[in-house]
Amino acid sequence: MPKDVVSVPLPRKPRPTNVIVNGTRLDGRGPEEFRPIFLSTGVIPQASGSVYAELDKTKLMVGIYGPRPSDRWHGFSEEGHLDCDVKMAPFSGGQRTKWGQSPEEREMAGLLGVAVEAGVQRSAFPKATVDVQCLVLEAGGGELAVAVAAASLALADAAIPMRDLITSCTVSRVDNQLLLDATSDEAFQEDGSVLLAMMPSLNQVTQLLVKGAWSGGELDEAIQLGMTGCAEMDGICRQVLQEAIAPP
Amino acid sequence: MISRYERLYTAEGAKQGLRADGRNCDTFRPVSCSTGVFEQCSGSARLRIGGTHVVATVKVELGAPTPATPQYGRLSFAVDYSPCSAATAQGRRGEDQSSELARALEQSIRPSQSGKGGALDLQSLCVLPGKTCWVLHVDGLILNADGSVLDALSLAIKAALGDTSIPLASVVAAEDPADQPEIDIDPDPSKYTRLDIQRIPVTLSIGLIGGLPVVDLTEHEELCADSMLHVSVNERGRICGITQRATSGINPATLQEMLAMAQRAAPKLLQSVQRASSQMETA
Repeated sequence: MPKDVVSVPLPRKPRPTNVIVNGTRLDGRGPEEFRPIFLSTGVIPQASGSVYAELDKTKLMVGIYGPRPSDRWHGFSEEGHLDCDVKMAPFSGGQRTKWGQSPEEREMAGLLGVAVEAGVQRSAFPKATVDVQCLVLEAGGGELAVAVAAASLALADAAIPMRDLITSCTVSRVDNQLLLDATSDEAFQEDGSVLLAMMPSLNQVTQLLVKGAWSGGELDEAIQLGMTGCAEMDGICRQVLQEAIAPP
Repeated sequence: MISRYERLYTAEGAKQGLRADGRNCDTFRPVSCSTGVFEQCSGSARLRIGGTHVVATVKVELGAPTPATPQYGRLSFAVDYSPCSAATAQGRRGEDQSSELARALEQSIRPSQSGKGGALDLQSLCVLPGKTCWVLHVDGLILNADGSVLDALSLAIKAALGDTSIPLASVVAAEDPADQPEIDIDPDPSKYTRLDIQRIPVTLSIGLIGGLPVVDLTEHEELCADSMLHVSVNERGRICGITQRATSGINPATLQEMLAMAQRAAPKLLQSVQRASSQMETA
C-alpha cells in the first residue's frame, strides 16, 4: 500500500446539545431509569466464567481465566491475586484506535480492579491468580460501570468465592439534573459525574469515582441515586445467575 | 509488606486517637512550601509534608489545540518518582504508580470533554482558536515518599500554577489576508499574566484504619489502611473529585464521615500554600 495515502475522516453526526427535552431524555427514559439491560453468562466456553453485557449501545464481554499459579514476580502471598485487564476494541469509539494498551485502558483496568477486588475472597486461592479480561465492543457510555457489574457476574459464573455481587452504575449531572446511567452523548454534556460500585447486600462501597465540583448535599443526592441504581442492577444480576444455574 | 501485628498495633492506636508520631486522627504533619525554586521553569514549587518531599514545575509553550477542543488551551500532566525516593517505586510498578497519580491530579483540574466544569479556565489559554494555544506541561517529582504523596503533589501543583507566568501574546494579522496571522510574544519578561488558581482543589488522602478515618497518613500507616479515599476539595469546600483505592468496601455512613473530614481539613491546607505564595509576592 502506498505510504502517502491521506486519510480523510468521514464527517460525524454532531453530538446533541440538549439531552433533556421536557423532562425526558433523548431515548425516552426518565432521569432515574436504566437503559435496557441484557446480561448472559457462559458465552465463552473456554473461559472459567464469562459474561456478555449490553446496555443499549454499550456492549462488552468479560472472560475469567484461572485460578492459575501466580507469576514468580508476585512473590509469596497468602492472598490470591486478581489481574484485571480492559481492552477497547479499535472500532469501539468514534475514531479508530490502535491496538495496544492506551492510558485510558490502563486506568480503567486499575479502577475495575479496585471495584471488584473488595468483593472477592482472595484468601480462598493463595499463591494463585485469577485473570479478569474485559473487552469493550462498543462504547456507548458507562463502560466502566457495566464492566464492573459484568466482571462480578463472570467471577460468580466462574465459581470464584465472593463476599457479595458487586454492582455499579453512573450518575451524571447535566444542566443541574441528575441522570442515572448516562449514554455517551449525555456524558459529553455533563459537568459532573459519579461512578459508584458497591456490594448491595453487605451495604459497602467498593469504588467511588467523582468528577466535577459538587456541594455536600448534591453529592449525597447523587450517591443515593447511585445506590438505588446499584440495588436495581443487583436484582437483575441475581436473576441472571439463578436462570443460568436452573433454567426456567 | 507489613506484619499482621504491626497492622493491629496501628489500628488499635487509631481507635484510641493515638498515632505513632503523636498526632490525632485529623491533624496534619507540618507543611512547608516555597515557590519560584527553579529559574528555568515558568512556575515551580517545592513542598514538604512531614517526610514527604515533592517538587512541581510548570513549563509553558505555544502549541496547537486538540481538534476536539479548538477553543481551549492544553494541559499535560506527568508525575515521576525520583529513582532514590523509594524502593517500591522501581520498574514497571513505579511507572504504574506514577501514571495513577498523574491521572488523579489531572482529573481534579481538567474540565469534562465538552469543556464544562474544571478548575482551570482553559479558554483563557487560547491564543488563536483552532490554531495556537498555550500548553501547560505540569510535572511532579517525588523526592521522598513518606505517605500522602498525592496530597503533597496536589498542593505543590497548585502553588506552581499560581507561580506560573504566561508571556503576553498578541495575534497580528498578516499583510496578505490569505496568509496565516502571526503570533507576537512580548519579549519583556516583566510583562506576563497569571493563572487564576482560585478554584484549583487540594486532594486529601483519607485512610480507614481500624474502621476510623485518618488524614495525612505516613507510609507505614498507608500500609495499615483497609481503604483509602482521595478527595479533592476546593477553597469553597466543594468536592471536586474522588477516587477510591481499597482492599475492602466502605460503609456508606463511614464514607460520609470521610468526606466531611476532607471538607473540614482542606481550608487549613490551602492556607499554607497561599501563605507561601503571598510571601513570595512581598519578598
